[in-house]
Amino acid sequence: MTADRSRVARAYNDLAAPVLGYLRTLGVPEADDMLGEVFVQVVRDIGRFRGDDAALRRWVFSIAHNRAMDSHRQARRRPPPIPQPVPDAAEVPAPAEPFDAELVGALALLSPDQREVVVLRFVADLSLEAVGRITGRATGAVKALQHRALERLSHSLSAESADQPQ
Amino acid sequence: MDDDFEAQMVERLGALGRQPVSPALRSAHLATIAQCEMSHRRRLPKLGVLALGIVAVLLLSTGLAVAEVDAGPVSDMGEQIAGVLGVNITDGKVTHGTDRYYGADCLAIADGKGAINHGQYIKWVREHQPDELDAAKASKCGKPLNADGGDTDNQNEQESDGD
Repeated sequence: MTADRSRVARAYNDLAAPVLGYLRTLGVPEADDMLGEVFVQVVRDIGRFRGDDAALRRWVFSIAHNRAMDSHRQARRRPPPIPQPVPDAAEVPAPAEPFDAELVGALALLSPDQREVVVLRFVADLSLEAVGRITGRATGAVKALQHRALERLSHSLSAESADQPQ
Repeated sequence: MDDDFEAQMVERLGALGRQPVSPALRSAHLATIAQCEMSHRRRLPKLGVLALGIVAVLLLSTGLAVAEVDAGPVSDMGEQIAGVLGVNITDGKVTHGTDRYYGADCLAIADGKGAINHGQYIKWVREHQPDELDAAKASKCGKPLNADGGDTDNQNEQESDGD
């Protein structure tokens, strides 16, 4: 059990950043908390896991993916929030870390399937096969979604850069 | 799509997954991981293996008794275990918690573990107090009591010589 726990700690050191980036990019609320929940589940189930580091990476992102999807489903079922008064600009805390807001905004314009694939492929740095296994798609379907997603991102970001004053 | 542009986009996406977790968040999560209860592996715990062993011996000894086979050490062990568990074994039928007659005319069973049946009582008397064997055979000691407290004449509870 000690070996398992240390394996989870190593996995956290390797994967926490991409998992957090994955959750934030998908717009999961309270992504920091969800990162902790993902690794709590990893700890609890590590005794049943069998595989190498690549399989472990895929498994951790499967857990993160499922939690993100659950979070989105719950958000759709919840009633819309009551509008709160807008705080003064001085009261809004600055973001803790720089985040590519332009790119995240462009990702939001993709279909859910396209966004899911491109984020797992390039933010989580997973192979086509791994993304297919996590999302339940054939490798060819993942490749097609990836291609369309990158095209749309390209148009969105090109259009935005064209709009900016030279 | 411009290959260079795509490469830049892929690089920007990758950067989203490389932004470090804050030290405070990392410490909090690692502390939680250290305290989390881990799942048990899929193997029988030692207690479960022991319980299975006990059940196996009980079943083997009762099965051999039904077949009227001299179980020897297995049967003795089964009876000892049955005594410990308070289980009665009569011709292979296990009865749990059956009320049995143990009046003042019955000898005190040495270990006092569980309520043994008449056959087991006779066996014990033969081994420990052979002078009382005739009285033990004639007694109701170890025979099941019926619902109104009277004893029953259970034909199955005959002395088993085990020879």
